Amino acid sequence: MGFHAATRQSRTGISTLVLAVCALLLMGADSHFGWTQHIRSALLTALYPVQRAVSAPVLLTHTFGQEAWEYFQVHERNEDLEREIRQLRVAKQELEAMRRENDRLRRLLNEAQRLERQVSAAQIVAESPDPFHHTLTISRGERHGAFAGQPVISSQGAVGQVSTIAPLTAQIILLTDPNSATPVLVSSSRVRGILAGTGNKDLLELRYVPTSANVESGDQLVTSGLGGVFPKGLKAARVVEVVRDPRSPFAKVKARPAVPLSRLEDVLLLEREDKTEPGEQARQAGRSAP
Amino acid sequence: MSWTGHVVVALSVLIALGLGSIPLAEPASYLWPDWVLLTLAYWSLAAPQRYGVGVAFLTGILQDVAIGTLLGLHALIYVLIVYVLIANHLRIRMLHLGAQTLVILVLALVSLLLQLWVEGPNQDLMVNLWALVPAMTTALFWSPVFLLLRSLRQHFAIA
Repeated sequence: MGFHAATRQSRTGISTLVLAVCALLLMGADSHFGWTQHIRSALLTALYPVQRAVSAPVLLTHTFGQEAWEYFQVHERNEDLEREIRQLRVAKQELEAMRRENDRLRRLLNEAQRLERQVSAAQIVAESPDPFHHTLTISRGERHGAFAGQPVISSQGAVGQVSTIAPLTAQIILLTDPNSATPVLVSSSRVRGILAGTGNKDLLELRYVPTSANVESGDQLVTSGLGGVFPKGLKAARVVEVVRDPRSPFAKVKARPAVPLSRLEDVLLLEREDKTEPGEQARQAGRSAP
Repeated sequence: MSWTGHVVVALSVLIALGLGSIPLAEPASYLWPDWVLLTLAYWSLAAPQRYGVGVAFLTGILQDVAIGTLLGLHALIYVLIVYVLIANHLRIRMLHLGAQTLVILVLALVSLLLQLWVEGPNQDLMVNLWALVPAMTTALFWSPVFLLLRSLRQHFAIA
């Protein structure tokens, strides 16, 4: 018995030693050479059915548990989702509004860059309800550097000029105000005239244009820069109707403002450019950027 | 005995291998015992002449493949543990289950420390107290595994 036990003991010891060395060699090989990968993948393939079979009940109960849980949760979840949908709808509308505003501001910015003059943006905060006084109140005043007579434009063209100045706000008088008169010229024929407001927000009148002058409906009217308010070349209006009366020295020319004045939201204030007269400004701006 | 015995032992080892590689959530994986160690420990104590270090080596290789450790790491660990168990199997068999649990605890701790020692530098494995928790659960599972496998062994008259 003792002898047998001893030999068995020593045999186990020897095989343990051999196998441990084998294991160590295998570990070394696995960490340094690629060929153990083949053994690994072959054994893994062999083990796959076992792993699959053992984990099947676990996964199955897991799946069932999940299903049952979801079944009881479905109502609550539905409510949650609907609430989320409502919130998202609101958010979407806000985003839509923001996108439109963004577009508008981007167009404004483009216009400002084209003019190559310092501009400041302002929002319209109030509008005069009086049909014969087309004035708007904007969110920039003396504190922000606004001044009376400052030209106001939008992405599509001339809007008006600052008339009354307050510390935090300013009033602008639109081109369509009956008291407004802006020197313009017909962009194709360079005929000069005065663009006057009519009290109608969609209609302007071009005055002091000789009956013989070359003005046609559809002609573009741009600011001439003569009044000292607007720089030269800003779009102001488009001629819609020309009536020539032989008995009158002047043609009756009706025009539509380039800017939809009743649908304005943001405007740009053109900053002063010192030491140059306004007509010069636009031309200089084209050559040398500030 | 011959055939059914081998089949039962092989099946128990395979199931242990499968259990060891079940995908688990983080907290459960810390508590998951080393089923293969328990199974090998039982069979090497119950039938040391039949299921010895060779079986431990092959099972260890399979365990390395199954859980993706360095090939040979678990082979080495199981061979050493089974050697200790076989060398002392007469003494350990005499102990009651509580004392056997302590023996298994020590062996499982050795196993974990060997794993940490080998893999620590390779895979940023944090050596903290949590890493030793599986040794406790492995030890705690010794009694149920022992009772289950003993009933199997008696039922199939193995060894």
